[in-house]
Amino acid sequence: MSKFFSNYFILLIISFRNIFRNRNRSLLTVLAVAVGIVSTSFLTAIQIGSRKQIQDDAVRNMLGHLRVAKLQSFDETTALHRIDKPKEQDLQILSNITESKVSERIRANAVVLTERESRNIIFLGVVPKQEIGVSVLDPRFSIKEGRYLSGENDEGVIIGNSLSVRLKTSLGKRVVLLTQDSNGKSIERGFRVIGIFKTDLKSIEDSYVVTGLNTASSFLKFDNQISDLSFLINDTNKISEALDKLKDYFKNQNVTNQDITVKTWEEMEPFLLAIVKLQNGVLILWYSIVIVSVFFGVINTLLMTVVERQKEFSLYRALGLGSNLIIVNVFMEMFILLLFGSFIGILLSIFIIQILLSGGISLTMFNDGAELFGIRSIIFPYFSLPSAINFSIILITSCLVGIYFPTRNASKNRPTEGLVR
Amino acid sequence: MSFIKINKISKSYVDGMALKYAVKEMSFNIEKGDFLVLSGPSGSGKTTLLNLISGLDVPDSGGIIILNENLAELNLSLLSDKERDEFRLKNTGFVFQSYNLIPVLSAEENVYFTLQLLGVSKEERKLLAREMLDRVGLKDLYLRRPSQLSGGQQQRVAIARAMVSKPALILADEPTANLDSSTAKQLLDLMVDFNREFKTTFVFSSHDEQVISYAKRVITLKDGILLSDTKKNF
Ligand SMILES: Nc1ncnc2c1ncn2[C@@H]1O[C@H](COP(=O)(O)OP(=O)(O)OP(=O)(O)O)[C@@H](O)[C@H]1O
Ligand SMILES: [Mg+2]
Repeated sequence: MSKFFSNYFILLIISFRNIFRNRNRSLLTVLAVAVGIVSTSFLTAIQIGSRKQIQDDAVRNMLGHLRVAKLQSFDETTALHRIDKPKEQDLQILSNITESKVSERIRANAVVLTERESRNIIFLGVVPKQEIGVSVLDPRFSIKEGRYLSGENDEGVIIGNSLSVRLKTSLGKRVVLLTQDSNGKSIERGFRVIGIFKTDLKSIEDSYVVTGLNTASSFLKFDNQISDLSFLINDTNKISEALDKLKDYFKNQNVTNQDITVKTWEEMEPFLLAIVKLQNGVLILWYSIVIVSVFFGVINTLLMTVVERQKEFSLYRALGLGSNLIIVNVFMEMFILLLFGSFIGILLSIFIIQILLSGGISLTMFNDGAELFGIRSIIFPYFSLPSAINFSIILITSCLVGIYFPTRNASKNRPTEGLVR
Repeated sequence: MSFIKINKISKSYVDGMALKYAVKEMSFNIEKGDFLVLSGPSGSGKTTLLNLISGLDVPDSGGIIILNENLAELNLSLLSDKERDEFRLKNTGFVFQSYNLIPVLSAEENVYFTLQLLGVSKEERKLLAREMLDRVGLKDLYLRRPSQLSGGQQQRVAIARAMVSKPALILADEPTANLDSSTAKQLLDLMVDFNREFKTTFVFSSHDEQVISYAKRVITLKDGILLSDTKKNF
């Protein structure tokens, strides 16, 4: 047993000294690995950051993480598709089981008219206090002029800043809404603009005209009904858990709410999902490129080492060290370098991503295009230690597997072939 | 009773289109406690023969049989690589013509490397290594790396390493090639002492007259063939 340890101990010492002896080669290997890790961490960080961003925005876009509505409602935003308005205690139960904030909403496509312009928008009825801390309508941040809705019975509307410009209207003026009621009959009514909200997404400012839930309900002739329930899950890692709970909950409900469907924000916005998937694809491509290039870099330096040290290996054999132990020796050396490189790479990644880029990366250049898809122009990269570690493990393993055969061949060469005669 | 029986061994290399024998159908025995010098011109097959005897290389034909301590016969050609490595570690010391030392280890670490592989404790192997280095005249150079030693000093470290585990057989390829004659004499005396004290068998290759004068037995090779085998009587 002690012999076993002393064998490995001396090999470890030899490995360490060889690392310091070939400083340039060691440095190069460490650098290659570190750069590989930093670049993948960086890309992953952007990916996670923008995914989080998309998710946040999706929520703020009044999608919610999860939405409960009639199936058709997901395709057609009209007053025709309704669900029963849950009772106060049911709402509380829903909120508790999903650990989330719940918003009841009424929505319908409508045309908004002023004397000079008209636009297609979504007419939205909300319970104002439910939106606080949930959507872009949060009055603490969004109201630029005028005031926020006072309650479910507020008769005024708030509109986005951008929409007010397009409609050439302003605070205090009246706008007319044209839409269909719950029976499919055309209706119209005038509303006073009581507030103007501002967000960092123009598409939102352009899309919504918002009023109190009861006002919308009576205008659209809902009968104690709403269009949907939106859920903002407190812990975004638990979205799928909450999804299952909601599905169970509605399965056990009575038949009046037939056809009720629960969807995630990803299902509601296939476009966003496509972007996320594209990013994943790019990431996998990048991972492969990094692995392949670091792999060949490492293999290359290793082959140099093996050729350089052929005589040394032969000497080991002559002294009676088995070829397996020579492989162990080379592996130790490579493993130390790869591990160290990974470590440096992870530290550098943390430094770059969490310190240098903590203010976010501005994408103003691509802003217009990106905003089309509901992505904001600043991305906050997020360093993920688990994925950096996973990547290191993949990298280290593939390098070690890759050097195994050349090393084995070198160590099994007839000892005499390496020795100067 | 013979310690090593060499029976019609041949080793050839492809030289252009022809087959060239480095060692051809050679047979002789080595007795325990022999102090044998293989001499002969350059290219006569001395190194090749030493490599075959140590099991570093295997003959194309013929066999080498070693009688081990418990008098069992060991046919080197029939052993696996691993078993031959083990055999060398336990029974032989080797001094090469060149490239003898592990570059990243100090003189004493090089000397006790094999002791360490054999599981000798740290204090003991260090003591043995320093004692041996003292005997080959390298006092105070224990901690030098090979690159900080002259060719002759490196050679002496290699000799110390070959002897430190007191193996039954020490093979040395031109061990005095890099040494001045007074140092060579000192080391040869040391090896003779060793040979007497521990009955260690020495097999050298050398064309150095001084070395040959120390030999109990001289085998002369030419073109891979045994030319003469002379035993001296002191
Ligand atoms: N690996 C090899 N490939 C081809 N030829 C070889 C090889 N090893 C040895 N030889 C040839 O075998 C012959 C014997 O070589 P060897 O090294 O045994 O000679 P030597 O007596 O040790 O010579 P020197 O005194 O110069 O060391 C030489 O002609 C040499 O060229
Ligand atoms: Mg030779």
